[in-house]
Amino acid sequence: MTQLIVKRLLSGLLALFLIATFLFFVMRSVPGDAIDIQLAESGLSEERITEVKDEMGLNDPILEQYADWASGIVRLDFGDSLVRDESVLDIILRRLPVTLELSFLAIALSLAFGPIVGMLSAIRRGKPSDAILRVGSIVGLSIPNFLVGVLMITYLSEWFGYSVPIGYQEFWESPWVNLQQMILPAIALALSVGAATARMTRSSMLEVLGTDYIRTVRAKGADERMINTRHAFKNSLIPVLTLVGLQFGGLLGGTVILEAMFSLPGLGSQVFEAVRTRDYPLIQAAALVYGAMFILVNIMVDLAYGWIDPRIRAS
Amino acid sequence: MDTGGLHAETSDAVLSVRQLRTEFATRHGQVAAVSDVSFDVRPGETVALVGESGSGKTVTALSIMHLLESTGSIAGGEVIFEGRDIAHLEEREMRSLRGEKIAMIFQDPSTCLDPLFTVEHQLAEMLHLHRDITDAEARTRALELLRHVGMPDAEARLDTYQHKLSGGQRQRVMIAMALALSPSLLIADEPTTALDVTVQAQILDLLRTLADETGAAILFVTHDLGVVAEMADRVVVMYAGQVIEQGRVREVLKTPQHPYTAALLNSMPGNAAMTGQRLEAIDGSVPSLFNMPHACRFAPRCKHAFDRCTVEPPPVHELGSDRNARCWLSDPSESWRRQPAEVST
Repeated sequence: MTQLIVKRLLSGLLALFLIATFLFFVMRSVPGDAIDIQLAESGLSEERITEVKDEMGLNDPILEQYADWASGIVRLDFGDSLVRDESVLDIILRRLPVTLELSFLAIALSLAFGPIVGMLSAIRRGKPSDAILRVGSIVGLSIPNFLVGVLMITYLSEWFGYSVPIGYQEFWESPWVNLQQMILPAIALALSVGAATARMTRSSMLEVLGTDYIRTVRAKGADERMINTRHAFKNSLIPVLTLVGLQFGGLLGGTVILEAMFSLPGLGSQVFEAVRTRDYPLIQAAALVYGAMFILVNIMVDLAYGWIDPRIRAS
Repeated sequence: MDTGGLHAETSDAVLSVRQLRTEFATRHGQVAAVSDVSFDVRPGETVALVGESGSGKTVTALSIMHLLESTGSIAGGEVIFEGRDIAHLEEREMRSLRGEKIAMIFQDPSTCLDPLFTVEHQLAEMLHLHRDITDAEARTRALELLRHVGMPDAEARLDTYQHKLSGGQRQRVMIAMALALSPSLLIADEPTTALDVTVQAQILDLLRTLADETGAAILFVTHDLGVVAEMADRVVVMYAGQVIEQGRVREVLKTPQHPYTAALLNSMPGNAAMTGQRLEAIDGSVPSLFNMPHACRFAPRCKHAFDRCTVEPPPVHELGSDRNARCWLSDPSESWRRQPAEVST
């Protein structure tokens, strides 16, 4: 197990390096850099613009820029923002907690509902409630999360006159306001992950219910509730875990839009802004952070495997 | 005409199956996997239920336990267990019988234990389900049970998972679990088929010893007549969903009254090897459930079949105590009776 985790960590680091490198070159092949965009309408002379770019190193050979940047990362120095007067690390440290809170709230919500809904659906297979739950999960899977966000904002205000408090409050400043601001985008994000896990749990549970070891439990005289909750559900969670790990990537992508939509000062809305202004160091660092989050979550999934499945724990 | 089997000596039997009919819902309608199956199992006795795959022996066993898959159900007959008919018993009452009074072990022990729970947990679960005991008591009892079934290093095995056990050890765990509450009937569905030959013998030994000790009767489902000879007191031979012959093992194996039983004996590798004969395969195959011959079900494959066999279903002929056969040739009253089959022994 430890070996597995170490292996995952190493391959994660390699993946991060590849992500960073790829993004570095891709961003620089997009026409226009930060200065072009900021100064386009400022009327500054070409000479002055070139000077500024020289100062910022934007005119250095690209490999040299890459080497500078990569050597900085090792020291956790992501450079300074090209747009804001702040170091990239500071921006990320300020913005990341919001994104973390949002994405983990979303994952927690989807895990609170997805597997249970899937289990109920499997137990009531073929009954009307199963049909409703299945249709529900297809709907949840197919509605884009930003649309859910828009619909929630619109109809909560239309029908209930409710609108999300304006002005972001951190959780420890005002938990109640913070939760109100977080819960709607979290629900929007959780819907598709929850629906995907529900569907996966259902099919995996149906498979497990047909196995010999479930028949053994039944032959012992156990009742259906015990069969379903203790034996079948636990066994059916194994493939669901993998899915959650993979879905987390999509969820992170969703935070970018939903943070912007709900005016949450998270990393996502910052990245949204940074791409527009070609703030290379910030984009690159944010991509690394997203990559690291994804990898960490998947390592957590591996740990959870080991916790559930003794066969994996042993190997 | 069809009496459906044994005479009514049900009072002393722990299990009496009477004209059991089990049907499955299929795309082509209801189909009977088992029809008119009757036999008795008496206390302490081992009865073998023998037949090819598809003969309905496992369905019979699962019907008794109410463990059929959801498409299957008992459509007729009685399953009298300890004096009461449990064929249509409510699930709640059935649960209290399962494990406690009737236990079952299955064919492939490698898939029968839950991979995510320890051996102790699964043994203790059986105890907790039917007895009001503490975890510590359950653990002590589980250890006793493991030792009793000859599990090497039993104490350490308590905390292991099934993937660490060999096939034989897994079956030992299953047996320990099944006999934990001293049931009066143990149904063993091909319990050694998936095991190595050497392990098979050990498991059979174990089953016999434990059954003797606990006084449990065994319904032993198998396709292996060698195992029947070794294990059983009486044998019930099934073909295409019916019992075609039954009686004491020695008698049935020595003088089979049904051509199918005789053919089965002749197709046994052991028998042929001993007598230096060629192994005789039974021509043809078991008829499909959807296309059952309406008279004698074995007639199309039977070397001794004559015109009556394809016209009129043969009744079950009683041939002395505990012995009967479903064949026209075994009718003791008919003058044209011929000796059915010469068994090469």
